[in-house]
Amino acid sequence: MDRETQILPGTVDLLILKAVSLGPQHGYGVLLRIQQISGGALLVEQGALYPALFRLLRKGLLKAHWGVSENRRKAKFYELTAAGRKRMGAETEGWNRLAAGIATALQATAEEA
Amino acid sequence: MKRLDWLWRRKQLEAEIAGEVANHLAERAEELERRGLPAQEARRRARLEFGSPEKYTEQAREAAGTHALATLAQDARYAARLLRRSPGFTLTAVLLLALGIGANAAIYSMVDWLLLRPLSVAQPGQLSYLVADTASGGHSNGLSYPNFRDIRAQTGAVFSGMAGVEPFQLDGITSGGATSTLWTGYVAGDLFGLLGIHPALGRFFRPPGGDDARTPAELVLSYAYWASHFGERRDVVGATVKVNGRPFTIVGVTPRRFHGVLPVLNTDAYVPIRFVAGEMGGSTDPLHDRAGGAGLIVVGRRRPGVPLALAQPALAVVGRRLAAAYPKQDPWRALRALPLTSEPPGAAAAGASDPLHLVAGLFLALAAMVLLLACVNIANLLLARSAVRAREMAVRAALGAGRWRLLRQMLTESLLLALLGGTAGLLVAALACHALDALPLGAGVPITLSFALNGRVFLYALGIALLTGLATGIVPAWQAARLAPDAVLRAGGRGLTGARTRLRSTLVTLEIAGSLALLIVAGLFTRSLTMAQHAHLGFDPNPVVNLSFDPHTAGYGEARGAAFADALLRHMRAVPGVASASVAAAIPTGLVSYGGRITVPGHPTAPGHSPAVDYNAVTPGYFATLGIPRLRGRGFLPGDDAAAPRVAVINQAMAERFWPGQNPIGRQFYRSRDRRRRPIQVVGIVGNSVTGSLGETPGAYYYVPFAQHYLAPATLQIKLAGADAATVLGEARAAARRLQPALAVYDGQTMTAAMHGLNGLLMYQLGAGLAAAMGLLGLAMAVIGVYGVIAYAASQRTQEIGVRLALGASRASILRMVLRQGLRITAAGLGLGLALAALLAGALGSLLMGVRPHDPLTYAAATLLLAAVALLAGLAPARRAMRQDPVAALRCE
Repeated sequence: MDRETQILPGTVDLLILKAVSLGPQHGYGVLLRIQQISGGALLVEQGALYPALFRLLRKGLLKAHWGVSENRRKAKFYELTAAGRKRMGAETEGWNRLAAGIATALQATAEEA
Repeated sequence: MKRLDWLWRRKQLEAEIAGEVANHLAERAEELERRGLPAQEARRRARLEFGSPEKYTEQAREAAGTHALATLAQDARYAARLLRRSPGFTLTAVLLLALGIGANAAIYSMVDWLLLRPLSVAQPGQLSYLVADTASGGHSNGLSYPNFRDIRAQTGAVFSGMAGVEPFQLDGITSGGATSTLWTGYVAGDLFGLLGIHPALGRFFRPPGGDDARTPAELVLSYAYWASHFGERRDVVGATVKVNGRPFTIVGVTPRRFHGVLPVLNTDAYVPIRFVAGEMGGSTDPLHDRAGGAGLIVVGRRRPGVPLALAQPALAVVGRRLAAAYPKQDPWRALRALPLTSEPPGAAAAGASDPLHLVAGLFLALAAMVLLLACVNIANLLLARSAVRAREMAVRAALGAGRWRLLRQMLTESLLLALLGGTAGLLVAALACHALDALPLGAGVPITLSFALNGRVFLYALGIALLTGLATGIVPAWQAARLAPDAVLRAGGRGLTGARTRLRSTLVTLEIAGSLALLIVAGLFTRSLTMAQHAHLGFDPNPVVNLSFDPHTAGYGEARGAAFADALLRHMRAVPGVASASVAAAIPTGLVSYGGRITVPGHPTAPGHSPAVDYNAVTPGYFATLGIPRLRGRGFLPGDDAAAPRVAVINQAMAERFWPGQNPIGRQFYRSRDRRRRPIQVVGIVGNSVTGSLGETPGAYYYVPFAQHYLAPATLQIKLAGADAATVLGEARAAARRLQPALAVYDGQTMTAAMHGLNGLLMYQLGAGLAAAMGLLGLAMAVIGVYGVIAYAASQRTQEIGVRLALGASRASILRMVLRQGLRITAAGLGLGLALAALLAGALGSLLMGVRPHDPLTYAAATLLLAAVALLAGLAPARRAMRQDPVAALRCE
């Protein structure tokens, strides 16, 4: 599990939105999907997941309904709302800019400085 | 429905969360199982990984924005837990609040009893008192019976009914062979019907409650008198009692909640106006005397839809008509109606200057100040606590608790405290009321003190408790909510305390100021009582005993009454150990006093403005009995009887007023009431002495011989020379009984005891006692405040002091340093307090006797006392700071 990186604060929401955008998921499924789509690199803490889900629900970025999971268990499924999709687009763009900036900064050598 | 909705939603939310968590745990366990863990271990691991579901539930609940009531219940539970965990703090705060709220509730219940008791009559809004504005600018609330009849007959358009009562006639009631005093109200018109009350037992007088000779001799008992003298026996209806020797049939009992038309003073029984005795032993007929007998309190019920403003012009017209028709008897300027609130007409007309209202307002203000001091103390305690709790608050804020939520939590705590304090305060108030109830009243004062905690008092206490909770909670709550959590966490709970200490110091400064003001007011009242106790009386009450008797009660007129007094005197003068004995119509500071207008030849006055002078009718020996010094001329002699020329002895003030710079002996004056215009010759001058109430400076006063001016009731006064007061009183009672068993004798007591009545020391004692209680409470609050702030400041500076000590500062210098802070606060508070007290004292000038409101001695003594106490309060924590071990202090880090 050493490869799993702690997630920066504020990025959990974005990851959840992304995970859910790929199709409705229940809570544990969201956790698994983040792990899966990050190639096992990112692990959302279980304790942080549900408050985040709830927050997004309250903000109207997610909606939820009760359904049956693939293990035939009653589960609450989350999916993206239109507002959630818009927010995900905006945040993705912002994150990419930030990541690119950081990456560029880190590649700098003594001459360039 | 809406209100239950949140409950349901909350249940649903919790169920959903539980479901979601269960699902999560199951999925995770299955995954772990797939990886090869045994089923049980997999479930355990899943639960461990997830952590506390409770925390999530909490956060989810918070995020879902649950109903305010749910949060409130949660806050209250949390607050209760916190208070339970620090019992010392909770106990102190509740005690402070209990004293503050208790003092307020007690004073309020007193004010409530004195001023706010509802009259318990039907539609009081339609009722008015009638008063006459007199030519001299005052007002009179008493109307004579003929005037009452005329006014009633001529204002039928606006008043559907009008009735009156001549209250507080002191009569004697003979029942079962024993005679006792009875405060009787003489009822004119259908008073009870007008008020719309129904008898608790039997019936009231049959209308028209009249003045004609056919009106039956019937009597209605007040509920209180029925309970205290007849044990609420239902068979009293139909029984016969004698009032002043005349048989009356008891026909009914007033309802329990009805306490007369005038508050404060009790009326024991009611009889029709026809039976009212004329003043001066029946020499005039009060039912036909328009000018005299002006003692009816008249109440009118306005017709439906007639506002008070519309009734006034009608009354004014009638008033002018009567004044024009009877210019001599009705010299008033106007007739007015006053709303029948719970106030007596006197109080309403006199407005704010009425002493009852002034006293009530003053003590409510003092009590409020005590509560304010308690609030400041509690705010201080809460501040100190919130300093300790800053970390907790910061952590909660960091975890996402909203500012408003933290504020609300703090407020909930202080409100919970306040409610606890309020409950305890009601207990304190109940005890205080009990103590006030037990206050000794002079014998024969027709007052029942019954300060009870009624619904209004409860509401008042609840109101002030809630206000207190808000007031004490708002500052610490605001402080807690305002703090930046990261700053607090970084500072490790230190370093942010400067502003807090300043705030606390300001609060304590205010506290000392308030406390000093309270102390000074208490001091002024106490000094006033001492002054009253040692006031120059002008007579010597010690050792004099009094026994009042009322020949009316045996049906005696002037001749037999005078003979009775004479026989009683002769008997008592022969008792061994009696120095002198005399009879007087009025006793100093007694409830009974006499006065009337006089004309002094050579002392011109505007017509209708002849001066009114109080007088007393006394037997020979009076001045010796009371030790009133004779300055000039002679006293009364046995020869000054009905057949002899009229004489008077005047006091010095009267001599100076009417015959300044002359010798009044041999001069004459006339009394306006004497139709025969017999001159009264001044034969002697005596020293000024207290006659009416203790506080007043003696004015003009004169004495006439009892034999020339019979008055009843009267009081036998005996100067003792070695005899025991109780023995002599017993002897006097026995002698009176032998002379006439049906004659009421009452108020047997020493002259000193008699001076503790309403006109005597009672008010001063009450004032001084209450003010002293408030002052002590204030002092206690100040001590707690000063101690608290110094101890807190010293504890905050533990490390600094440790460093100073380590660097070689002397312990004395540390003591000085810590104390100096306390002294600064105290000095500022004392300065402010002096100003506050001067302001307060200005308002109570008229309540003080023999001491100026800015009496420097009182101010200085109170200031010194408070300064000394504050110094002592600061000394304990300062010494603790001084004694601390520098190493330990530094290791605290």
